[in-house]
Amino acid sequence: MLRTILKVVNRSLQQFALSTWITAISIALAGGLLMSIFLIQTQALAAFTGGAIGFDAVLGARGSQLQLVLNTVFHLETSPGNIPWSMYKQIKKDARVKLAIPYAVGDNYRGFRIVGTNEEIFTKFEYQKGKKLLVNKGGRFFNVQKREAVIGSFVAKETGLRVGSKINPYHGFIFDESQKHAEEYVVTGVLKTTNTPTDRIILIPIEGIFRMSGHVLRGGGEEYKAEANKAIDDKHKEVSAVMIKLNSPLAGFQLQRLINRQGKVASFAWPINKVVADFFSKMAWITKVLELIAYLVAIVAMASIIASLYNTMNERKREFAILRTLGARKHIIFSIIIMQSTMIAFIGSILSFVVAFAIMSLAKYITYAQTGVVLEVFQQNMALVWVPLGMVVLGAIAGLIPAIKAYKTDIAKNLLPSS
Amino acid sequence: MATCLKLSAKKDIMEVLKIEDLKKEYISPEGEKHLVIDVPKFSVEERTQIALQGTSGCGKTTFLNMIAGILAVTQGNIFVNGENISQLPEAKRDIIRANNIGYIFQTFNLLQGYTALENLIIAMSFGNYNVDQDRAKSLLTKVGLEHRMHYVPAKLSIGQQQRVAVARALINKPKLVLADEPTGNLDAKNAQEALTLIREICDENEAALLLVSHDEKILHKFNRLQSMQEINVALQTEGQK
Repeated sequence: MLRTILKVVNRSLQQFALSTWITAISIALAGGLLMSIFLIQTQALAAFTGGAIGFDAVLGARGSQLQLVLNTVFHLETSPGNIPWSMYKQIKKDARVKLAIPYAVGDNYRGFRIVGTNEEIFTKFEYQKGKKLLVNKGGRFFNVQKREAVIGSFVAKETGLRVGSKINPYHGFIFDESQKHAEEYVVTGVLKTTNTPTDRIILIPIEGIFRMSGHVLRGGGEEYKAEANKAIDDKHKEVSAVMIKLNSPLAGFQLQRLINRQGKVASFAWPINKVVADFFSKMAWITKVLELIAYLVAIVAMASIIASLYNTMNERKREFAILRTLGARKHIIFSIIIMQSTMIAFIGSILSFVVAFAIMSLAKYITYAQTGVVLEVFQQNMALVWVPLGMVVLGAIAGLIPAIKAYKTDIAKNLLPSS
Repeated sequence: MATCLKLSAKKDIMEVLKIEDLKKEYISPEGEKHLVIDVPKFSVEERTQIALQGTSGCGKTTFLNMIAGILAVTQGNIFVNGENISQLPEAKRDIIRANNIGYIFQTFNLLQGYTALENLIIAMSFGNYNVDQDRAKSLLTKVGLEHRMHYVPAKLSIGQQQRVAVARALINKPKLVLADEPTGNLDAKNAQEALTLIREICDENEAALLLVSHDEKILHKFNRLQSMQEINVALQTEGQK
């Protein structure tokens, strides 16, 4: 009997192939959208809060800790301001600090951020435990005394820059051709891909930022312009932020109290993942709205199953009447329709993985291009199980209305001829 | 009452169809009751072939549909192979129809999206027998369609479609075959051939045949011929009015 039901279902799906595929695709879109939303939601939170950052805290100008983190860790947002070089020196000496690396930002090359820093970013910084920044074969790190640059892998891919290429920084975070600096930097190395925001930046010696034409230093409270061949006194220097690796979580707690509650000059963003997590929890409503939209799409998809099957019922009345004449019980006719709607939903659910794959691939590219954070296209997630299963169950439920109509088919009225 | 009816049926076990006081009423849009079938007594014995003569609108399809259990009766009893189907719920009537009754229609009523062989196999799957492809193939061969088994009805001629319908009606080894104007859509030559085939195949399968038609040439081939007018009292009353 099951074979007969499956045969009839299969034949009907073929007979009404166009509506079958259109309905299945609408389910696939809804399922794919739902899965993608849940995947992006959980992965984005995990990637932004627990991804390969390599630092525990950021010390920067007084203001929004989130802005500080977004600006220095993810290279998004504008800089909240600078802090004096002395603060960098002071925190670097602190026994509770394992590593302190200065960042000076404010320039870009074709929209890619230029970060002035020192050689410790290559020699001491680990973006993941045991993983340091490395340059591809044929390249080397910059010489802090020269106008040299090391570029991230994504920058190299997007701009075509290679070892030996020459670049002029542009002032500001947004690329504006009129804001070109006169200084020319030579690319000495392309970093191996790290799948972190570092892939999207250009590293130059911090001295280069200090000496860039048009840049003014205010570390000492007064404006100071660097002069060629003359060392810059530390009192004039300033940094956008100091990236910090701590010796212990207790150190973070103590420094946070010391800098944020007692000081008035700087902000100590710690722990970085908590700052981002707070942001995500504030933005949770966006994902809720997206979820709601996806649920609505799912409801529309289910409605399309009902509509497409219901519309075929009139055409199929005679078929059902014939089947009944041959001895098919009413519940078999009912089962055929339920099975058919379930099959459409099943096909849609399988296709939803293709849709989810496409959406996730696009999301992965955009997120990486915009933030350097890498999302996995498919990662273990319960949504990959319950969304397709849910769609199949909803598909079966959607078949109820047309199935009841088929169940009620009057045999005698739908068999021709009648005398 | 039911026990009594059952005992009566067992006594007439040679009758594959027995009808007692069968009535069918329809309610008009105006709310009036119209008696369309009133058959006090009618029976078909095992392996007999009966022709029922009836003009259009005489209720012959309604009569056959009630025998097949497709239509519920208003009153009376229909025993099919000893089972009073008029007292049974629809689902039970479906089972009895699948196993005991073969139905041949004027318009064949083949499942359009399915091949000749599939039409037989689907019918077989609703009966008590296991699906037996060999039997389906042998029946199709018997009706001369050995080379058309995998053709869908639209690819078959009218005559061939009727042969598929005949084979399908016999697939579950029914005790009774009902044929409603089975030659109505065929030309004279094909009609004769179809009739011969239906009669032969019923005979070979030991099935009784109850055929209704208005075609004199067909009807006169039967030894037992009755008219609807004769067995349906409702028509006589209508005539007197």
